[in-house]
Amino acid sequence: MAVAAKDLTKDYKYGFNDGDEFVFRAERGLSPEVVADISRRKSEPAWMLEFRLKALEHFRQRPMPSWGADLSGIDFDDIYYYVRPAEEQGRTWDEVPEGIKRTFDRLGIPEAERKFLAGVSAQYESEVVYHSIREDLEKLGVLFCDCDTGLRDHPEIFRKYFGTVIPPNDNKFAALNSAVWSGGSFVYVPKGVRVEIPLQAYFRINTESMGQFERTLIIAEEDSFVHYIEGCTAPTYSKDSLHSAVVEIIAMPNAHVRYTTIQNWSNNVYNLVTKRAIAKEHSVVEWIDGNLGSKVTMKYPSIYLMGEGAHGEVLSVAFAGDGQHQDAGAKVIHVAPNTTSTIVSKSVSKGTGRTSYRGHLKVYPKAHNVRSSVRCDALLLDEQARSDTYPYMDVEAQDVQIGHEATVSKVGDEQLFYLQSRGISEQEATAMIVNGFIEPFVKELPMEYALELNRLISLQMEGSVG
Amino acid sequence: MTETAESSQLTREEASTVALAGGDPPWLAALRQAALAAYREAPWPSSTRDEDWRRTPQIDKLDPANFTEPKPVGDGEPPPYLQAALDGQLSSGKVSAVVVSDERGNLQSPLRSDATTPAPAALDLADGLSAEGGVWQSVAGIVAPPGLRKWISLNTVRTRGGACIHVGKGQEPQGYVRLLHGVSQGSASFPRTLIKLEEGASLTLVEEWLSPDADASLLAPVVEVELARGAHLTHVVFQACGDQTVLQSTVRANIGQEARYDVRWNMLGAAWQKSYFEAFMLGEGSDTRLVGLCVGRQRQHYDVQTLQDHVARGAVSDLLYRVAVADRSRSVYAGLIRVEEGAQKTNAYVQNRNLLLSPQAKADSNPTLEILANDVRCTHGSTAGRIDDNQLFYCESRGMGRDQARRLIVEGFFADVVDSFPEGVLRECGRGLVLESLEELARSGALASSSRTA
Amino acid sequence: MAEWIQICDAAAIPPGHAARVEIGDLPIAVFNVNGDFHCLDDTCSHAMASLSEGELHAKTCAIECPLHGSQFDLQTGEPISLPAVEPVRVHQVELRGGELWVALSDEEL
Repeated sequence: MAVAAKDLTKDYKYGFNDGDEFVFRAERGLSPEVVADISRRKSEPAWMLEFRLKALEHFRQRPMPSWGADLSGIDFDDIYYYVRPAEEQGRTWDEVPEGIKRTFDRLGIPEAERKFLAGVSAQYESEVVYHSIREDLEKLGVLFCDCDTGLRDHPEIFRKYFGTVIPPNDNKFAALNSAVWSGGSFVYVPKGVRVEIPLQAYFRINTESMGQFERTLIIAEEDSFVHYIEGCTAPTYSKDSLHSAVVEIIAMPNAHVRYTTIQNWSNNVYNLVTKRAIAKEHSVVEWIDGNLGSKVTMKYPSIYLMGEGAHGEVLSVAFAGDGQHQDAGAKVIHVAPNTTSTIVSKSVSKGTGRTSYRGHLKVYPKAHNVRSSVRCDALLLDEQARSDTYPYMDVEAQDVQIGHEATVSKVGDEQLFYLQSRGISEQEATAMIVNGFIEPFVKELPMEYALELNRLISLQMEGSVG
Repeated sequence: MTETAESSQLTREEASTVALAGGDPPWLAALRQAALAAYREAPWPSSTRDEDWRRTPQIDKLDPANFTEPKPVGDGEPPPYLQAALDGQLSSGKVSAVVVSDERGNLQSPLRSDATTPAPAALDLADGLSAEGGVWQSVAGIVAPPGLRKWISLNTVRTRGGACIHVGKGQEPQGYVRLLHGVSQGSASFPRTLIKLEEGASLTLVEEWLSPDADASLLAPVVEVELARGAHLTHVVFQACGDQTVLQSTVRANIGQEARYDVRWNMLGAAWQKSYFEAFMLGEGSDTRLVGLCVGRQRQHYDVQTLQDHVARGAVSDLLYRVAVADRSRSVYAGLIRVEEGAQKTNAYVQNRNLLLSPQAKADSNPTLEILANDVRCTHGSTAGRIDDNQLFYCESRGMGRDQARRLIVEGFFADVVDSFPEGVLRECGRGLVLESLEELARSGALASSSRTA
Repeated sequence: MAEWIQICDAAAIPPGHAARVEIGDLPIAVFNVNGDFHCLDDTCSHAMASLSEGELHAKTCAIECPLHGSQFDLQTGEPISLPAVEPVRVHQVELRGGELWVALSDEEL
């Protein structure tokens, strides 16, 4: 028979030679030149440049997703993909909306942090704090730095794992991130080491790290434990309207990784994140995910339970105020037998806000004796609020117990009446009820975050947050 | 173009229209033309392109051109398999009317209504349309618009028979009406059933979808229901098609103020099927209970999609769908609860329970919610698993053999669905069909592998 | 034991190339890695993509699916990276006098 063979070898050099002089490109838009620029500025090895260029090609070819939130407002050509010129770095304190300033007051955010969060200052002066933590970690053999440094100083470990959990062409936004990534954290925990203090991305902030295209890679060797926290509850201004981060986690046998995120991006931001973990034998991976801000968030933390006895948990909270759409959820893929998973999703919609839960639970045929439970609850506070729930259950093994439950309702009249009859205003009562509603999530947070979050919810109820 | 023996055409892209014996009323002919335009425009469903069909790749190989042309109606005698059903268990209850059809159109019925029969009027499609065209014109193609889905436009273009069931204001006839829609000889049949209950009326209707085993036929019924204020329809569907038949069905109901729609389905046959059950709560205080079951054996594939759309305030919808799959069979379920803006005080529920009886059986469950009003209570739940070891142990420790214990547990699994069927002949018939199905499973050894300690 | 089916001239698939061939209803992919031939099911085990349109990694003897990037070992069919977790079937392929012959695997899909 006649066959038509295709050439499958690909070359991503685009005709560049090493040693070409590069020009500083502080321009908007995306091109192979911009990508090559990024790589050269960071003095990256050739394999990373090739990785970026290949991802760029895939990004260009891949169509926008046909499902999920409305992304038509993103203009890919109107974005700085790396460094913006100095005059575009931030804004003056006067430009910061009153509402945001008030929130900082009410949440008790320290002065130095305020300027940073509001996009006024380029650097968070936390060097002192960060340094002392780093010394402790070094003694344990733990690596905690930004990804650029990780690639440069620990190339063997980095290369071994980078891109293996989320390949560049996994989806359009992972491809984008793979092409232009910068900053993000690199965490490596050696065998048997338990890192008792939570590692916070907050400590190492600078313009690049808290940027649009962060890439985080966490490797927890056998029998280790680490808790990583990113973000904060305070409203965080970003001039960049597109955030596309990638987080890869590898939990080796018996390791335990907990990754907590609280984001409250300003309402001009499209926050599109790909987060995935591989859980090997008897390991535990937990995603604690709080989505408070942004104009649109699309984020579905996922866990591949690849090793027997592994356990995965996703606990998420989404709060959508006027004009916001939180499209979040969880994906758990049971590949190995004797694995378990729990997903709890709590969402609150206020005003014209919209929350959507999108989940995928898949059990492969060889995954015997799997137990999984999914619970999604949504609270609709106002008439115009909206909530959607789209869970998928795809079960191919017989020896399983899978359960899924979802509820949607408003604040109970009886509950409100009870609280109001005790002299509490309707607003405060609603805040109490909402805080109670998200309690399963809040109790997993470190105390300062929990307190801040509760206070923030109260503020949201007042409608006084910018 | 209306078909003649030589020019009849039915492909994925094109279909020549047919007409009822005695001709179509002009409005129906016009509806068929509109449906034909919609049919031509819509692409054939694809499992790679259409979310609705993602888990049913059988659609990619289905071609309506592969089915044989129906023979002429002749004397309209029901063929043996339909005659057997006519004489079966369901004939022993209080039957008020019987309407029968197959791929050739409506056939002779042992208990036909006519103008002199007191309510309900359950007529052949052609008779109904000519007796009360005005009534049906506002139902046909309105409750189920042809442009909605390719299978609806195809049914509209190619329907040769079905039923028109009209119950007048305040009438509450006793007993039940029977509808039998069959197909055989490798043909395709597109029965169209139109049901309207006027204010305060009530009716119990039993529909059977049938075909003989070994006939690779296609049955694609469309049922349009309209319930006026305070009406109550109890609609029982028994799907007992042969093991080579493909079923594509749509049941769609507009439910008025304080009206109630009870639909029950019991699906045990067919090679593979895609069935839609869709209820629109259009009137304040409307109420619908959808309850059904299916049992999968060998390589059967059940794809059921339900919709509870709350347009009006204060309505209630409650769905329970239980599935047991054995051998290599597969169940796919997608159920949407949609609450439109302003539909406050809604109560809507969906429960899908899947029992996996063998290692290679599969169950996909996709209940979804789209809620645009806030003063509501909506929940959905879904489970999938095998027979519970504890239950098994309990039965065995009381002296039951393993196989017997398993069968009892599966029976228990379906109990609430079976008991929700109207009391009497209908419930007993449903129960009997389920037991028979389980008996077959037990005989073939399928139940034996239904727990880890097999 | 499956029968051997003649596919094509070996010269039709030069090194670094792949071809998709349909054997009845089943699409398979034949790869030439530096002169060695490999044959797998063409359909990726993760989603409905065609492996014969992917990227060939000659050094690691792997094929990368063009859709989501999963890599499969050409010799065993096992997935090397996510998101695929199930292997694709490997079929025997032989060069006989300049012609390529394939015997389909007995394994059930």
